[in-house]
Amino acid sequence: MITLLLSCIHGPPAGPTPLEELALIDEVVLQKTEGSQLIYLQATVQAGSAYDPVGQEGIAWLTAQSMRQGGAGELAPDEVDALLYELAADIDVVVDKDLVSFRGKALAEDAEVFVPLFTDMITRPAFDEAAVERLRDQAVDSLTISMLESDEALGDTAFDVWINEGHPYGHPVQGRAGVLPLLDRDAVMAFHEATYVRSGTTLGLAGAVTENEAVRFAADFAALSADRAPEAGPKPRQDVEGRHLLVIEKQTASMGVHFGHPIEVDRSHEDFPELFLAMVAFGEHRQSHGRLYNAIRTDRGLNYGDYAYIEHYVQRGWSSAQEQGTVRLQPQFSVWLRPLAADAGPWAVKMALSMTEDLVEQGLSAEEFEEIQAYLLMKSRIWAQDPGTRLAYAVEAEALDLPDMLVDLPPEIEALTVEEVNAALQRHIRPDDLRIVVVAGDGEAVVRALTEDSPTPLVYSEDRQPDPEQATIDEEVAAMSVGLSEFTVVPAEGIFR
Amino acid sequence: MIPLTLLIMPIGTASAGALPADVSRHVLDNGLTIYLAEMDTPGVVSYQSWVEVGSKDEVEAGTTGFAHFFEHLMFYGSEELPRADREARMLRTGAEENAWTWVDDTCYHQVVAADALPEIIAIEADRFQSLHVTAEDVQKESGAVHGEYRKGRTSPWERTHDALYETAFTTHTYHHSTIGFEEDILQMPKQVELAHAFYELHYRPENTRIVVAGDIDAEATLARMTEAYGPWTPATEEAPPIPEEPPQEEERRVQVDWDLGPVNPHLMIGWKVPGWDPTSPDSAALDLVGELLLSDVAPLHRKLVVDEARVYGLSGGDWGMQDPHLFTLIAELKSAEDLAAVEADLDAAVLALLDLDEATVAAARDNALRRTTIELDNPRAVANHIGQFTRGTPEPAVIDTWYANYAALGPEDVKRVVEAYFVAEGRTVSVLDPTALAEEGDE
Repeated sequence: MITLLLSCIHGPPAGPTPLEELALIDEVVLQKTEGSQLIYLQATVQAGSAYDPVGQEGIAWLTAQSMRQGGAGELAPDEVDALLYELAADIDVVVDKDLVSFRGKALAEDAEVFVPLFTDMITRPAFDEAAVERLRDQAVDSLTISMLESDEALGDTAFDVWINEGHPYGHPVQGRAGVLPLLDRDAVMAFHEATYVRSGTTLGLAGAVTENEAVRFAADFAALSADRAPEAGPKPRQDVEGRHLLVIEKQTASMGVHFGHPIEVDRSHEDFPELFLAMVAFGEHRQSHGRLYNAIRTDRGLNYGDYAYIEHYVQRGWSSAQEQGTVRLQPQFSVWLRPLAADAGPWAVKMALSMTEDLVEQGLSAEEFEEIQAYLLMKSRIWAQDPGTRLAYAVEAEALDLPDMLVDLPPEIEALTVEEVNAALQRHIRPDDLRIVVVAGDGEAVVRALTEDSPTPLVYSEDRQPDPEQATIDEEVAAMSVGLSEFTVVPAEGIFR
Repeated sequence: MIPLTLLIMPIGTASAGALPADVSRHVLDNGLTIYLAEMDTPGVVSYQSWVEVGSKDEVEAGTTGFAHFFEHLMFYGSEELPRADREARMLRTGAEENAWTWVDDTCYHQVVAADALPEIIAIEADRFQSLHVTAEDVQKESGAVHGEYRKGRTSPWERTHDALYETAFTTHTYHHSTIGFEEDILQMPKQVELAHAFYELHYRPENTRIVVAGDIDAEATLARMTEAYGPWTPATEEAPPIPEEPPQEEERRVQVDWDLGPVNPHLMIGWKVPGWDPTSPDSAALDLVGELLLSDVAPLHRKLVVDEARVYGLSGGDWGMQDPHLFTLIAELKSAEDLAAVEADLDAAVLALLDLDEATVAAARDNALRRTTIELDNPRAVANHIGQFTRGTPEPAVIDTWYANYAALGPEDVKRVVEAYFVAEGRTVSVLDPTALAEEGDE
């Protein structure tokens, strides 16, 4: 059934309203915001990098960015820029593995101009040849230089690629530096034709909009072909068995760490609320209450932060909130330790591994569970702080047929018990089967520290001694064996070729 | 208490002063300033505490980075509400909480569900009046700051920008970056006494503004805050003066060291401009100069980024520091061979501003005004706006003044500020040139 999912932010949400005339597109989410002077548009398409054909890694990213920057309909790129500038309006593009999202925002009084521009950008992109080439060069630069400048970005991308090795997720969203030069305007146009289809598209409107405008907006997307999107869908991923280490060597005085494994618990899985809550307790992204953060940063001052995730996490701009449009059908469990001093790095890896084992074996305490449950019930009320974000949550959920985090997750969190959370941890988190990515200056030293049986003591500055309890833990962790079954050292240069 | 209420035009037109809220200002007897902005944002509130201390206040030798380090220490709580208890209480509110420090300010901010606001007021009022930091806390937290330093050192952008300010400023404390020099960060573990003195001196009501924006009842919020913050006592000593920068007499250049592998060339040019003043037409004009040089439709962007594709990205502008600072133009280049040519292009783009037509200026001006309306659609953005504008001129009417000045800008204003400030004697260039470094290494 084709439905208009309508809700009004100031009143009780209305139920889905069948609108037969919308038989053009899968779903349209409409969220009117009383009193708003703005209009928010979103088009989310199943056209992320998982749809890159083998040998064309990067085509999804290049297509989406070229749609944004390569002209729209009859307008050349500079004419699009000029029009957006006149309206002071924004259109952002978020590209991830499964989805590409276009998000637009303008004054409602400019809707007559803005909505057709937004629609043309997606349904009738001009794909200016120079823009395609320039964006392709930027992607190559990003994969060969810019991304490698930041130890954190390098580690995050390398981990995300390695953990999904052999799967459509198993290359950077921007593609591969060795393949991108082969992609041209024709390839981009062909990818658009095949992938940007009505059945793979979900639309959203919020702010000062009406149902009629929503219907018209959807009708304009009839310009897209109706064929089904190529099925990316869930595909099997390599099982991780044992602990495998990949050290990426570059000139740096620090050591950054990611580890984890694929999991099958997506947002629609019955154990998702359990694992989501558990990861918030273990190490919520850029918050100071998690177990990892407290042990590694607060108690020992070893780095800037330490976090754990049940989904690949992309941060929105400078905030700590999750970027919408980056949800995936096939998630992963991961732990991230931000850059440590090289001499403390091996100890911190052991500590985080030991804490992961402890999390699974012991679970959360009843008190910890209740605290985090209460926290999330409050926090979820501010996940969306503006109409555009609220809309984005709803649209990404519709796009992949997943629950809406804002609406569906809080009641499930409220109904959880600590026993359920701890049982789910045992079912899904496997501390013995991990891929560990380390970015470091001296790869051999990292391998030695993590493979030899000699302890890797944590050395404090001379004017500071830990309390006896902490000192005992420090010694036990230092003496731990990581039990690596495989290790590799590779140079950073050329890693995303 | 002196309640001063000022109504700002409601949203609806893109005219000057287009905040989507009325803003009222209140000053408590102890000097604390409170801004309240009631917005139609169901259930969401932004709470921001702006302390007027930043890295420019690090006047004493060996203390660079301390304002930022102290921001971290503010999360250690009080004797009554120690760190772990504070953390637990904050957790119950579900707040999204963090803080930032820059050259002029330190800002502690939360976004929270509206019914948790009373609890936020209680927790914040406690640490601002009764912080309790021990020698052990100082030792531990300094490690986290060193970690933050390590995280930033791998950024060629940061390294080039730090070198620009270190070269342009010899005396004023804008010379050093907010994270500080590593040798000073290494001294932090021992500086518990400095931490206590810093709190006594700077974390005082007359030096602080609190902005609350969103779904609030202004009257009830003010009553609660008056009670919670009322006992806070003003400082007994004055902060030492910030040394004045002597006039620059000739252009300066610096080549940035880089030893962390492959890197794109970075070019940054800075020109000395006056301290940002929202009531000054020159500050508004310099902001507009940034729009004219750096927007997506600016000729410079079209030439370097789009048509010739010699530059990956352009940024910069007047970032509104309180004291005389730099207007910057920043380019990340594809090839070091283009460094000289791109530098010439940046200079030529500035010169071209001397002869603009009214339509070009009007387009940039209107864009800036409309964009403000579009960006201010959530409590956090509105609170940020109020906090930034009231830094030097506490009356919220200053926001109206800024937009009125802005709306009146014409080509002659752009010409005036370009002639006054974009001069060789005020110019500093910082370059990260990987080829120059490679040649040095070969010698």
